[in-house]
Amino acid sequence: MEILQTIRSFSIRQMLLQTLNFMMVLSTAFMFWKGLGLYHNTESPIVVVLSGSMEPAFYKNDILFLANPKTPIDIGEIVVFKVEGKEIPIVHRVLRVHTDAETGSQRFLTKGDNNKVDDRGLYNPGQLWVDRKDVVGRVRGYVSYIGMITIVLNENPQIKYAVLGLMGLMILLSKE
Amino acid sequence: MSSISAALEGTIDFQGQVLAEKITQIGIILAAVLAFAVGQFFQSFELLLLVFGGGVVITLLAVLPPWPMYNRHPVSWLKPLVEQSQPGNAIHQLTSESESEAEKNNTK
Amino acid sequence: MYNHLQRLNAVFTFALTVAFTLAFTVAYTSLWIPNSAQADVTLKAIKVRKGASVYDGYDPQARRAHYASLAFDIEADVASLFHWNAKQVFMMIVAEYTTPTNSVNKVVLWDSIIQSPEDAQFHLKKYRNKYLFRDYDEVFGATEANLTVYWDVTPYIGFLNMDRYAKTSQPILFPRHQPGVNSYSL
Repeated sequence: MEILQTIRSFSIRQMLLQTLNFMMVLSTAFMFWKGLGLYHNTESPIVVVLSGSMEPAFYKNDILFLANPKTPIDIGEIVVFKVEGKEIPIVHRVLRVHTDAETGSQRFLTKGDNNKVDDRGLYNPGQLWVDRKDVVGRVRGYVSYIGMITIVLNENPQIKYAVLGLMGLMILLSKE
Repeated sequence: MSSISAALEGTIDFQGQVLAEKITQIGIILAAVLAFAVGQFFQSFELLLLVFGGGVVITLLAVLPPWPMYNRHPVSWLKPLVEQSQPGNAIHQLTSESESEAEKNNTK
Repeated sequence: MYNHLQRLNAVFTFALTVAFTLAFTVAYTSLWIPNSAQADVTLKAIKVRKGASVYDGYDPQARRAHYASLAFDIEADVASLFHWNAKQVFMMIVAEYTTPTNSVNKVVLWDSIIQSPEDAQFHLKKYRNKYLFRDYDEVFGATEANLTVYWDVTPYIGFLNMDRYAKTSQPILFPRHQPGVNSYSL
């Protein structure tokens, strides 16, 4: 009831100011993300693991930090690459590297740590290798345990909604 | 009614707020330092997480409920001036304004 | 700090800030932890044959290409790599060679994920390559290759691929000419 009163006591200007502040926070985060991507030469500097194919190194929902320097990619590196025509990038380990003697360009075969076989079944039909230009990032940093938190939140939606609702209320009710 | 909502809101007085702020900062920084030291000493990352998480929970327990120690300095308001029946009294207006000002500060 | 909600917010925000600082501290201090370990691989036998030994439906040259089968001993002690921020050690044996087509060829023959220091000491005898070993070309374009042990440490929080160790053992020679005939053991 008191909360309703507080909201009612806000004038339209106050509400708009609050909205603008909220949008500024969002755009700051976005600029930070874009800046990080620019610095590390990658489209998405921070990605979330979407599958368990790299377990036990990375679990679903864990966070990876990427960079894409032009230096040659070494064997055993974990790279993020896109298969042409497919939207979702794949995070897997480099199993084979061949560097062309003439052009110096690299070709890779990849494999998920948790998969029995290499990734040729995931590539396009007839595609044998991943080219250097298909690699959108190389995994440089890793934060574990975050995946577990998101899994707990997803399995108990009540907690998620409670946290989200509480955060929304805090933003709405904070008078600065 | 107002006492129930006050209990739900868990308000504390000004000096209590200062104390709560101090306890929050000291508690959480201490938890972090202790977590790092314990994790390093026992060579266990899990222990680091447990110690830090535990420290945050303890801090929350110490700070969140309106413990009596946060309400030891209740604000003693000035006695309201005797109502003077003439409307538009300058003194009366001044007091009511400053009072609402005080209330605003209070909610911050 | 006036009511419940504000105190909850204040504690949560400050805890998050401190948690970030703690994570950064852990990540950066882990870079200073010295890591040295021992691992060695010795080639015991090698055989080159035509056609893959197992079905590989994705390789159009699987029937025609030359494949090398190896047997090697692995002696490793990487327990010292398990510091407090080490989640796992990924270890692999890599064949490195140069051909006229490709200046650098690196092929993983065998790998292993080590998750605890108790499993980090082992002596494996006469292990075969886990993955098919063929060249980029149909026939091996090299006469010799180096077998190397690589490993990297995956942290709980921190940097990857910053340290990687390699120890090269003796070079191996591909039995050339007629596949299946010129195999040899050491």
